[in-house]
Amino acid sequence: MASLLACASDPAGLPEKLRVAADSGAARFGNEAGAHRQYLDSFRRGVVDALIWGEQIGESRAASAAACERGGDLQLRILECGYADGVDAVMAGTAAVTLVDLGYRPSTIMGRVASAADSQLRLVETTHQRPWLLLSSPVADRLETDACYRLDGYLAPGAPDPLRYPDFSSQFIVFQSVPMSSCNAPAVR
Amino acid sequence: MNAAHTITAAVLLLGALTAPAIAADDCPREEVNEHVRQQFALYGPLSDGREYFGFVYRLDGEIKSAVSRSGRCTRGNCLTDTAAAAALIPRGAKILGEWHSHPHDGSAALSAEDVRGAKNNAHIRCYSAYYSKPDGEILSWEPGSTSVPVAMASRVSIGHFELQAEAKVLANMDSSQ
Repeated sequence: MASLLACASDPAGLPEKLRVAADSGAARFGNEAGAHRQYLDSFRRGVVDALIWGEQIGESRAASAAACERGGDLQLRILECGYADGVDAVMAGTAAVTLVDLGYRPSTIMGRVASAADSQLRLVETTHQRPWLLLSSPVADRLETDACYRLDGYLAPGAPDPLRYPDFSSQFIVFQSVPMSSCNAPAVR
Repeated sequence: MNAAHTITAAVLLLGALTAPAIAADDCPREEVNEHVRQQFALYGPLSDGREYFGFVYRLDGEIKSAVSRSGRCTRGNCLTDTAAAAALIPRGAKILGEWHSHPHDGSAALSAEDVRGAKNNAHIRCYSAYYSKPDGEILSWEPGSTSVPVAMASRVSIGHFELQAEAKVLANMDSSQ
């Protein structure tokens, strides 16, 4: 249990080049371990979203920054300040960072884009494997359901919550897509 | 099962085991309902292209939530990070339930993941489950439900948050400055 708790105390897995910015941002909310963890987790989410969405993250960042500045609830402020700061860390360009720095793995998968049953989740069905969860991204949002594609992108480190998402492999972030006429090709990793 | 998810299970189990004995009919339902309404008043208006998830717990007589948020998502394709929320629950807390917001462009219905997630914690005494619809309606559902249709049929409305509340608050602050 001790090792599990130690692992949980550093959920962000941030690269060194972002760590200073993240730690100084978190320090605004004191030294309490939970608040620190929450800030770093949200900071990481902001970093990942900025890398996925680029300039299109502006509106989301602005909403978070406003809530960060003016929110009356401490927990809400920690979540939104962390997120906005994470976006800013990427968009400012002072620390060149990629999804690989955050543990994501460049991957290509070939399969059919589908919708999960009783859900708004989107997924990619491939041969011989459990479906991949398809995260929202500018490219993912343009993919047609039931169509086949070759998808270039990144696999997330770790599996999604197995209690909540037991039927899926990892999360996949797509950056490029090429339509295919069929989905018979085996998945490539 | 990775470490974070093991923690989720461990923390929830710990909460269940260390909780003071509370008879099912002594569950603080109305207190939790009120707390959840307050949480949705905060997080509901912000749920535009994102979801929030919270575990509700009681510690030292106070009811609070441990909250996480999703990344940016579109048309309800959001991943809820329950492990991040579970990691924030203090030791010794009595866990009382969970809530999450559906994004403003998301679904009014519960998803299979919502139902499955609550079902996994339904063994915790006094556990309640809540979500908000895109229009701001707040509903509870029976966490022991084993399917989406059953969960949907069990829903009870407990209130409503104002979608534009955040914008109004910010506008008022701007005009007073």
